[in-house]
Formats: sequence, C-alpha cells, structure tokens
Amino acid sequence: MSDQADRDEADRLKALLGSAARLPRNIEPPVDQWPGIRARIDDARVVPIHANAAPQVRTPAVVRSRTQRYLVAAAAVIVIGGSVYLARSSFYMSAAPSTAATTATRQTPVLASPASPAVADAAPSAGRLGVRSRTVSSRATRDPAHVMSAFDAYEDAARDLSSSLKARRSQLDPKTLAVLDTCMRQIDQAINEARAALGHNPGNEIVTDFLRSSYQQKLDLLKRTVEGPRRTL
Amino acid sequence: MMSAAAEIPEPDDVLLAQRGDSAAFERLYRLQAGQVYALALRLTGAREPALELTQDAFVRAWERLESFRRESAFGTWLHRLTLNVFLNQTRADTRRRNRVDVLDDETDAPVVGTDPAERMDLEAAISKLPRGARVAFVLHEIEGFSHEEIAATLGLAAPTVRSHVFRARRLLMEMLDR
Repeated sequence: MSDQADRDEADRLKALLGSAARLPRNIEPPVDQWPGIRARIDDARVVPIHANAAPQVRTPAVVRSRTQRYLVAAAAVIVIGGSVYLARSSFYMSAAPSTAATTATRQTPVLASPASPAVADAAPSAGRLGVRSRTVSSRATRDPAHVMSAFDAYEDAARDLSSSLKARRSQLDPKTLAVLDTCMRQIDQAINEARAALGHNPGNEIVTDFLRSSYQQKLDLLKRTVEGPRRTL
Repeated sequence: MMSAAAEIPEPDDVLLAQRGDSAAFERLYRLQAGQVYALALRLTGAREPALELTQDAFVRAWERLESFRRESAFGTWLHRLTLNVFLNQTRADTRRRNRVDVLDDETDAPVVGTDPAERMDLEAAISKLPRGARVAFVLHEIEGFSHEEIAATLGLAAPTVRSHVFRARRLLMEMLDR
C-alpha cells in the first residue's frame, strides 16, 4: 500500500472513530417501558438482593478517553448550553411560566398512521403544541410506511411551532436567536441525514429511533422557546 | 431534549427508591431510560431486544438498589449494571447453544446487502456488525472502555478484544464505503 493510501486509510479511520465518539448518548425508547417494569417489580417474586452482588463501577475519568470527553462535551455545550441560554434569556423572563414545559421532554408525537385515531391527536392544533404522552402501536412502529407518516406529523408540528416562533423573532434577543439557530441547524442536519439513511434502508429500527430522537429534540426546543421558561433548569 | 439538571437524578429519589418507593424509582427511570436504551440498542443491534434489555436492566437495578453505595453517579452504576445484564444474557444464550466463547461469532457474519444504494449511517452499520465485533466496538469506541477493561469484563484476553475492535473498524469502513 502506498504512503498516500495509508494516509487516506488513516483519515477514514479517524473520521469513523470521530463519528462513533459523537453518537448520541441518549436515545429515548420508542415505547414507555415503565408499565412493564412496574408490573415486574410489583411482582412478589422480585425481592431485593443484598450488597455482596454490587456491580463494579468506574469513575467518569476512566470511562471515557480524553478525545471522547471533548467530543461529548462539545455536543453537550451546543445542545444543553443552548437550552440553558434560551431558558435564561430575557425573552423567557417576559413570557408566561409554563409548568407543562417541565415534562415536555417526556412527550412526543404519536407514532401511528394518519388513518388511526392516535394520529389525529398527534397532529398539531392551535392551542396544543402537537405533543402527547408516548403511546405507540406495535404495528405503527414496525411498518416503514406508517413510521414515515408519523414523521410527517412531526414535520407538521415543527412547522407550526416554527411559524409561531417566527412571529416572535423580533422580540428575541439577537444572542438568543443565534444560539437557537445554531442548535436548530445541528438538529436539522441530523434529521436530514437520518431521513436520507431511512430512504436507503426503510424500516431500519436504529435509524428510526435516531430520527425520532432528533425530532423530539427539535420539537422540545421549539416548544420551550415558544412556551416559556423551564423551572427545573 | 433534557436539561442539564434533568440529567442528574435527585439524590433523594435514589434514597427513596432504595427504601422501596416505586414512584421515586419511576422518576429515576424517566431520567435514565434514554441512556440505558441507547446502550442497549447498540449492544443488541435491534429494537426489540434493546427494549427487553432496558426493562431487564431497570428491574435488576430495582432488585440491587441496596448495593448502590454512591461511590459513583447513579447513571454510571446503572450503565455498568445494564452491561452486566447484557453479558449475563449473552452467556446464558451461549450456554443454551453449547458454545464456549461468549463472543464467538463465526456464525454471525454480517448480512450486508449488495445493493450499492444500501448506504447507511453509522448507527445502522454498527447494528449490522457481528455480535462480538459490535460489542467490543461499542464498549471501546463509544463507551470508552479500555481493551483491558473489556477483556476483564468479558473474560477474554486483551489481544482478543483488540482483534474484535480491529475487525469492527474494518467492517464498518467497508460498509460505509459501499
């Protein structure tokens, strides 16, 4: 192999490992697992086990390489920092407080077909920002056509929220807008890449989950910006 | 998107859960489910087993909450516990198949389509890796474990782990170059 080929290979490997280190650490489950967990822990057969079986733990310093920590930190700065900045901006101070925003991250448009009753609930309306508690039909999560239809519902909800935000942009601080736009560009890029991947590989569950997670991030950011401050920050 | 504050469980919730408060444990689940599911999805490579692993991990966490001694963050403890649950299940599956090596994946060759249009993003490519290569890659390149730590956890020699990681890199580059 020539020196140039070696360098190309090294560059490709570096890019691959960089991408791997930047993969999201958080992907929301497509189905709320709590009811099943609750049922199992309520079962009398599940009893506490004592300490001698403690799993080994590591400190965060050992868990990640320096490079990975930098990459994760950079991503966290963009996403979390943007949220914190937006939440603390003067715009929020002038907006009406909303306790609903506290639980916004736990809500998502329903993954279901347009023909199902659930989709009617998922579709945005003027007074209710197109989100509801997570309930997913198994059919909807497995059928690529239904999944894509549900993502269209996400798009509709995001479009409505963006319209609401657009009308208020003039009221926002320029720094707030800059942070918001940066976050939104990152999320939109992730959405576009995931949608393209799904186009090539319909029904891929991991890409579907990644796309859903990206849409949830987008809707949550828009929703919190439009609705007002988060009290839990 | 979760806030910075939301990433950190309230200490009282851990304490309450250790005392048997399932409502507090539900709050811990709400905070940590995304991270546990992300790890489970990458370790198992598919949604359904990832959901099962997520549920199993939280049930195991509930069973073993008394053993959590706050020597690390709750999320770190839960992360490690999830990995242990996965490895225990993998070993059990292996025993059922009368196989010796927990990461022996000779029969798990990746199924990669020949259609050049079947390009996929990195997540999808990882999910198509053979099990041993996938687990080693996820633990080393994404979770940040050293070869030696992975080897100790899996009961393998460090060179074997290096080999799995190396193989995963090669396969991923091949898949992503298609």
